Formats: sequence, structure tokens, C-alpha cells
Amino acid sequence: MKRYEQGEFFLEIEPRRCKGCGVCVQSCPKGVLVLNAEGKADAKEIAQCIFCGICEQRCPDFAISVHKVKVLQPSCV
Amino acid sequence: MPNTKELAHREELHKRFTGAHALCAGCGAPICVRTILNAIEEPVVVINATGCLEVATTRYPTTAWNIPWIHVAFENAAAVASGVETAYRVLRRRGKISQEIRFVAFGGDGGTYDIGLQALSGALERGHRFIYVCYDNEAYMNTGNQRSGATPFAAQTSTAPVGEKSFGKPQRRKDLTEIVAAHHIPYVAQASISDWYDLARKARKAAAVDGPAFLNVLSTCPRGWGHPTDQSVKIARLAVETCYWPLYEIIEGRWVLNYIPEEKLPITEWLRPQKRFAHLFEPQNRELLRQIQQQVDEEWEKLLRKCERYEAL
Ligand SMILES: Cc1ncc(C[n+]2csc(CCOP(=O)(O)OP(=O)(O)O)c2C)c(N)n1
Ligand code: SF4
Ligand code: SF4
Ligand code: SF4
Ligand SMILES: [Mg+2]
Repeated sequence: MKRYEQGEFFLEIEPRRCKGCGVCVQSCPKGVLVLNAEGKADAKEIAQCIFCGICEQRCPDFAISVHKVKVLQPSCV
Repeated sequence: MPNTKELAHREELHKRFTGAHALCAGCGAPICVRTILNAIEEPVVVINATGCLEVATTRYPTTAWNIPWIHVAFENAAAVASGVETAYRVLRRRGKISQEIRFVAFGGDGGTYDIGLQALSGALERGHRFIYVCYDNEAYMNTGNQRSGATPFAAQTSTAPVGEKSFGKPQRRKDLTEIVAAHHIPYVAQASISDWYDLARKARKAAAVDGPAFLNVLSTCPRGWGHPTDQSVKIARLAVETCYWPLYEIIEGRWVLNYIPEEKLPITEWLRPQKRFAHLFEPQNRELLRQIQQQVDEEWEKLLRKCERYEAL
């Protein structure tokens, strides 16, 4: 599992699930993604990512996902 | 940026259809399914005709579907949907179900343009409230790329070969979207896997109408079309940019165009990257190319005349 963090969001790519179809690459509005030498999705320009979730919604194989870091609040009890 | 609530809701819609299915890399079918199911807010029951989508997502003992899913046969997805929808309506009337449920049938072009057309026509005419989605990959792909009523003129398939005496399919494809529109149902649309936002909006509109809705979605098949598996979105996009596959909808009988290319690309741009059209670029087939361009131009002009409005999504 590859993880790319930026601020409170992160992008996760699971290469074992990725079939290298490039759907995420061609759907990303910010040109963040590429297919690497192994033909798998990689976040080359993570600084450009706006975490819109389009890649996640489009990937036919559930290999890429957008997450928000959960900040644990101190209990008020 | 999405907020946490949106992400959580997305997560829930996400679980309707999952990965680990055996559809090829670059197959348009799962893209079509995900975009549509992610766009519909209400609980969904899926009815699936036989075809790649059905076969490759339900390899015993596994399934890629986490929602109620029914498969009966190749030819009767619309008839099955009619039955399920009718039972639901009766149960609602009797107060046994209170939930709003949407019924979505998925069929390939073989299962929709050809063998399932009678069942579809009946269901549309009876007015069942369901969404029928044809993921149109322009041939019977699951059984090895046989030509269908959706296969374009001059495309090579296993049953429309290219040789000394043949140049691929000698007939033109039928216009199913228009056939469906002739049933006077409330919502009909043509979409492509390349334009996900347009497709998602159309799925949402289809789910909102009180009656039958139909979506004809151009869906890539790298195996049958013969293009690189990592180019599907671009290839499908070229079908739209050349006006081979225009994006439009018919709302209560009114035709609405959803996309006009800034510069209409020549049809060769769509044909060239696909091996099923490779023979058309041989010098002796120049006339076929001219004919194809003429067909596309005529159909586009005809569509422009029918459309009352232009509403980009
Ligand atoms: C009555 C019947 N005839 C033939 C078949 C064999 N068959 C299974 S899938 C298929 C092709 C489906 O083509 P299409 O609907 O275009 O879907 P695709 O596989 O292209 O996604 C055929 C011919 C069948 N299952 N039932
Ligand atoms: S869409 Fe999914 S399977 Fe396709 S290249 Fe991207 S991560 Fe891999
Ligand atoms: S979240 Fe959006 S911007 Fe980021 S990689 Fe995915 S599609 Fe591109
Ligand atoms: S053969 Fe074509 S339609 Fe069937 S799974 Fe592969 S890409 Fe999809
Ligand atoms: Mg097909």
C-alpha cells in the first residue's frame, strides 16, 4: 500500500489491486497521477492534488482512495 | 475539498459494487456501473442481463455486488425488472415496504439492441418505474466479439471478418436511443464513460423520473476494439469529440444536446487507435472512410435539427 500525505488529507494506492487501466490518470483534473514503470498508478505530483476524490470514484478496481486524517479529540468527560 | 460527511456518504455508496472482479483492465462496464450507482442516493436493486459484466462480477462463490442483484437470462433483464418493480409497487401499496427503492437494469448491447429488445420495449411501453442502462461496447464481447446491432459499419468482428470479399460489418448500426425515445418515456439519454459528470447527472435525473428511464452508455472494450488498455477514457472521449457518439437527452419528448465540440474532429481520430478499424486505413478502403465520415455528419446534422436546446452539464 502506498500512501501520499498532504495536510489533513492523504491518497492511498494499493498496487496489488491496480490493473493499470489509466482511468484515474485520464480522469484526474490536476494531472497528479501517472502509470509507473510497472504499469501501476502512482501520485507523481501529490502537491497538485486537491483531494477531489474523482480518481477514487472512477477506479474500476478500488485501488486508489482519498482519506482524511482523523484527529482524535481529547475526551471532555 | 470534500467534508467528512460527504466522504462518509461516498463510502456508503462505494460499497454497492466492489473490486476484485475479473473485468479486463480498461473495460468500460465497471466505470459505467460505478458512476451510475455512486450517483443514485436511494437504495438500489440491480437486474443484470448475461454478458461480460454479469459473468466477470459473479464468479462462484464470490460476487462484486453488495446490494440485491438478480440475474436470470440474456434476453429478459427488462422483463425481470418489470416483475420486481411490480411486486415492489404492490408491497408498498399494502404498507409492507415504506422505503423508496430504485431498480436499475444493466445489459450489454447484445442483450439490449438485439436479444433483449422485445422485453425492453414491453417494459418501457407498460411504464414501469426503472432505469435501464445499456453499456454499449458494440459487440457480443463475452463470447468472443461477435457483431451485434450496435456494431458500427465496417468494424471487424469475429463474425464480420475482413478479407478479400469482406470489409467488416456491411450494415450500419441501429439507433437504439431513438428507438427507445419512440416509446414516449419520460427520460432517455446518451452518455459515455469518458464524461463521468455528465453520466452521473443523467443517472440522477433517471432516478428522479416517475416512469421508465433509459441510458445508452458508450463503453470501451480494449479486447474487442483493439486499443491499449490504459487509453479507454481517451478513446471514449474521441467518440464524443468526433460526434460519432453525441451526448444528449430526451426529457419528456424534448431533445436536449449536452455537448458541442469546439472543433469537430475528423472521424479518423476515433477510428485510428482501434485495431477493429485498422483495415480502413489501407488505400483500397479510402471510399469506406469517406462513407463513414458522411454517415457521422448526416447523423450529427439530424440530431442538431431535433434538439431544441443546448444544455451543457
Ligand atoms: C439465450 C442465450 N444465448 C446466448 C448466450 C451466450 N452469451 C452469453 S454472454 C453473450 C454475449 C453478450 O453480449 P453483450 O450483451 O453485448 O454483452 P458484453 O459481453 O459485450 O458485455 C452471449 C452470446 C446466452 N447466455 N443466452
Ligand atoms: S483507475 Fe484504478 S486500476 Fe486503473 S490505473 Fe488507476 S488505480 Fe489502477
Ligand atoms: S483526488 Fe482528485 S486531484 Fe487528487 S489524484 Fe485523485 S483525481 Fe487527482
Ligand atoms: S472482453 Fe471487453 S467487455 Fe468483456 S471484460 Fe474485457 S474489456 Fe470488458
Ligand atoms: Mg457488448
